[in-house]
This record gives sequence, structure tokens and C-alpha cells, in this order.
Amino acid sequence: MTDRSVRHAKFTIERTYPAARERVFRAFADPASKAKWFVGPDNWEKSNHKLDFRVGGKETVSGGPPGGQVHYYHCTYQDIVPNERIVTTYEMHLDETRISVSLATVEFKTAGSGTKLILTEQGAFLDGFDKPELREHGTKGLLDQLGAALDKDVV
Amino acid sequence: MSIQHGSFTIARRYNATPMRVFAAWAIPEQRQRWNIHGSWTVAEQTFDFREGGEEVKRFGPPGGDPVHVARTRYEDIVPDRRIVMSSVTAVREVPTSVTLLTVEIEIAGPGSRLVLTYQAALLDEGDKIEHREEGWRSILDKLGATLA
Repeated sequence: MTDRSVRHAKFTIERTYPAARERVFRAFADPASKAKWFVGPDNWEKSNHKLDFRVGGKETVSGGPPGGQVHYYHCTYQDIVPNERIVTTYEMHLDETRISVSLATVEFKTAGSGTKLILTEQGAFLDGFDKPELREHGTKGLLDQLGAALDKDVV
Repeated sequence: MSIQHGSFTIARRYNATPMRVFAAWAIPEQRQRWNIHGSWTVAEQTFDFREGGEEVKRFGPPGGDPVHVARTRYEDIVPDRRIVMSSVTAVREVPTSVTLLTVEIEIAGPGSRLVLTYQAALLDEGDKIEHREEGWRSILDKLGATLA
């Protein structure tokens, strides 16, 4: 029997953006907008981002350092309430190996003239290939990129 | 609109090998002997136990209409060792939860130890995590009875 392990973890990230809730939600819902911020580091090689934003719809994207291992993101949209919330399940592969399965929710709340976003991820991290701390760090980076895209008015 | 996040873990020991415990999940004729809580009943169940496979279960309380539907997808399967699945449940077509369920099976003495970890986003106060935990304890007791 191969050595197997599962580490379960949960993290929550909050961000407040000086943008209307409809605009922040659109940055998740509109494929062209999402592709602008939902990407790995600048020096990574990237695949085409595909997004079918509806309940039951899928999203895929992959990327990785030049010549290095490729990270694959496969997501299913489980529940969508426009301008309110998005619930997804997603799995990550590193090359051929499945490294995690996660349940992620994003909640959008009006905060003054802006929007408070609450992202909660509950994950099963498999066989020690990835760590929740790294996932949280990476997700914070993505939400910072979303903030920058909103500031620059490109989403 | 609201989301309640919750999780729980239940561990059980069974006097059966990991292979037998895994088979109780994998083989439809075996799973339908135990996979519903309390005295609730299953009105309809499809089976597709493989990675990427999707199943639908329609169920309800005793004497009531089977208005509860769970749609499950098998995310990760390691034979005799691990099953990870995601599920969406709805009552009368209104979604009540999205969950991630991990079942780990390991050798323990002459039998097995099973650890079930449930991670959930419960939607719009349609259900409580305590009820889900109670339900799964009941289901795992029934599984134990079929393995005894």
C-alpha cells in the first residue's frame, strides 16, 4: 500500500475593494475579466483560461514556471447567486498527480460605497504534495491581483 | 442569503478488512444496504463509482415525499484506502448545501479504522451541521452492522 495522507484545512480571506458589488462580481463572472487577474506569476507559462459561468459549468486553467511542473485547476460551479455569492468545488493537479480537492465560497457584501469580499476555502490536501498555507498565500495573491485590476479599471 | 461553514470528523473501527470496507462503498448492492440515515428512505439512486463519476440520490423522511436530492461526484479514489467526493443537496430544487466528504480507510489490528471528514457550506439556513453529523453517525453505524 502506497503511503497516503489527507490534511483537511480551512482558511478565510477578506478584502474590501472600492468598487460596486456588481463590478466585483462581474470580475468573477465574465470570462474576459476573470482572465485578467486569475493568473499565476508573470514569468509562468500559461494556458488558455476557459470559463463557463453557470451552475454546473466548468472552469479550467493551467500554468507553471518555464520547463517546470504544470499546475492544473479544474473547477465546477455549484451555486451562483448574482452579486451575492459563488460556490465552487475544484481540484488541483501537479502534472498528472491530484494534489487537492477543495470547496470554495465567495461572498460579496456592500461595504459603504465599496464591496467586502469573503473567500472561504475548505480543502482536502492529498499525500503531502501541497500545503493549505501555500494555497492561502497563493489565493491572497490572486485577490490582490483582482484589487489591482479593479484599481486600473481593466475589469 | 447566507452561508454557514462547518466540518466534523467521525472515526469508526470495523471488524472487516480495508478491502471489505471499501467494497461496501464501491459496490452498489452493498452500499444500498446502509447508505441512508435513520428511518429515511431512498426513492431513487444511480451508481457510478469511478473518478469523475456522478450519482443522484432522491430520498425523504419516513412517510414523506422524497423531495431531497443529493448529486455526488467522485473526485479521488484510491482503492481500499480513500474516497473523496463532492455533493450538492437540494430540497424541492432549492440548494441547501455543497459539501466535500473524505473517507479514509486503514488497517487497524485485525480489522479497519475508517475516518470520515465532512466539510460543508450550508446555504440559507436550510440545514444545520449538527444534523448532518447526526445523520452520518447513523449511516456509519448501519455500515458497521452490515460488516459485522
